[in-house]
Amino acid sequence: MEWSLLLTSPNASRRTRRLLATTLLAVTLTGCATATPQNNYDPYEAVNRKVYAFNDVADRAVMKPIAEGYRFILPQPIRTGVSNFFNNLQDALSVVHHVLQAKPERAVSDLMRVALNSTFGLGGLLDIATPARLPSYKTGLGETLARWGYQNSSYVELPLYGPSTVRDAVGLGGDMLTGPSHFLWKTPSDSNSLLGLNIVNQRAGLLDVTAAADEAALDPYTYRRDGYLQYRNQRIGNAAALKPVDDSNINDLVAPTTPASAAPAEAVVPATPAPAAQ
Amino acid sequence: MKTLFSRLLLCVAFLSGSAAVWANTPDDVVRETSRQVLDTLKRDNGKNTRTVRADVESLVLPKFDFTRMTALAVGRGWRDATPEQQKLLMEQFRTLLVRTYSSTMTRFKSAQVEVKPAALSTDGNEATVHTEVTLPAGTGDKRTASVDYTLIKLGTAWRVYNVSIEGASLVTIYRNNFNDVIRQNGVDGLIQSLKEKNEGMAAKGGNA
Repeated sequence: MEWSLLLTSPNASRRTRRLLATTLLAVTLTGCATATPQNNYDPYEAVNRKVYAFNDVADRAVMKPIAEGYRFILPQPIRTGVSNFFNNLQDALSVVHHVLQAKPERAVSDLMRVALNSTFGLGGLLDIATPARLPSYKTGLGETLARWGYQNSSYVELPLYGPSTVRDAVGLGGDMLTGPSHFLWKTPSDSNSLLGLNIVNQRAGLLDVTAAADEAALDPYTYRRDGYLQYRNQRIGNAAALKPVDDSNINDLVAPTTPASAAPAEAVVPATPAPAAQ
Repeated sequence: MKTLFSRLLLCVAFLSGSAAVWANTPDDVVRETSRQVLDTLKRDNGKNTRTVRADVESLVLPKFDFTRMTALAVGRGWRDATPEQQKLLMEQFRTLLVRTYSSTMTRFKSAQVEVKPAALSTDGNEATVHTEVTLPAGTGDKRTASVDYTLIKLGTAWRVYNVSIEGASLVTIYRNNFNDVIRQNGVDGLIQSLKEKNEGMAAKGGNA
């Protein structure tokens, strides 16, 4: 869930430039990466880890308190309205990309969503399309590039933004330059405050998720990276990349029928499921 | 009278018999467990109390095969581990997962779970159950998430050993990291790291 939220941010060319600059920086620094590469999808690990450490500090010191304040001040319906508004913009962009990905049904469905939500949904503040059985299939340039053959891409940790890949960073920049808000709000101050609101709103939605990740991981960096890459590869249908570097077959590790593997659970169970009928 | 009684008995026998069969398909294991868990989470005004956590754990834990799950997370290192080490790994990994998810589970108290029919493997001993979990009024934009369970048949019972959310596995997400730790510090090093993590979190939160 976390990853999809992170990916739905439209706009602002200032940010775009920063993202592109980061990507370039990451690419040029490849030669300096000292850690022995254990996988082929994170060649920039040394740099990524530094960016991750920065993001982590920035997140705790700045973003999280702001998001918590935001969540404290604004009641749920208003936050939902804010989410809906940005989703509607994203849906509009998705229409174009579904066409580019040759998925006409989804393009039509998202077009209907935008039409309904922008009019009866009061300019996108209400999401009346979802209850009307028009689910949102958000997509963007990153997935279009994947659809056109750019499947494998190296992991990149973007400053202030978080997990991405080279492909998705390019996609993000493209989406910002071509998204509706770029045309709707010409003045930089308007579009920047809108971008700020979008980021804070997304971060507020993620408060519980990040708390769980901190608890779950031995190494939060690899946890976030591998979770993000699995999520992305699943979305773009990149089955080959979903196989872990160590692709040991589970049946070679644990024989599928050893009763021993059921034993630990049985200790907790008061009664094992009743033996079938006879 | 007698015939009525015996008919009733037959009816009951038939019903309970079919219920046993019914609860034995992988999708029904997931459906039934989800329903029971959601019912439990709604108790005590949806508070994350110790009794609610304990009740959910006693509902859910027996449905998991933690040994297989740990092997899946550890990967090739599992083969080099002695049975004793495997047992320790399993216990620590189970503690890690249980603690992580029991502290957040009340977030899902108003969730709706739609369970799709199971897809069986060719030999019929494994199954994947696809579900759609919907959170009514979430704070974020993505309110529906696909959650997939992979189950294995042990005797007559089905046990979950992998869970994926939106394609990201909560189990294999650990594999690269566990590989690294084992490469550097061996299997005992991994056991130690997990232990320290668990003790650290227990000391920090303890959220009782």
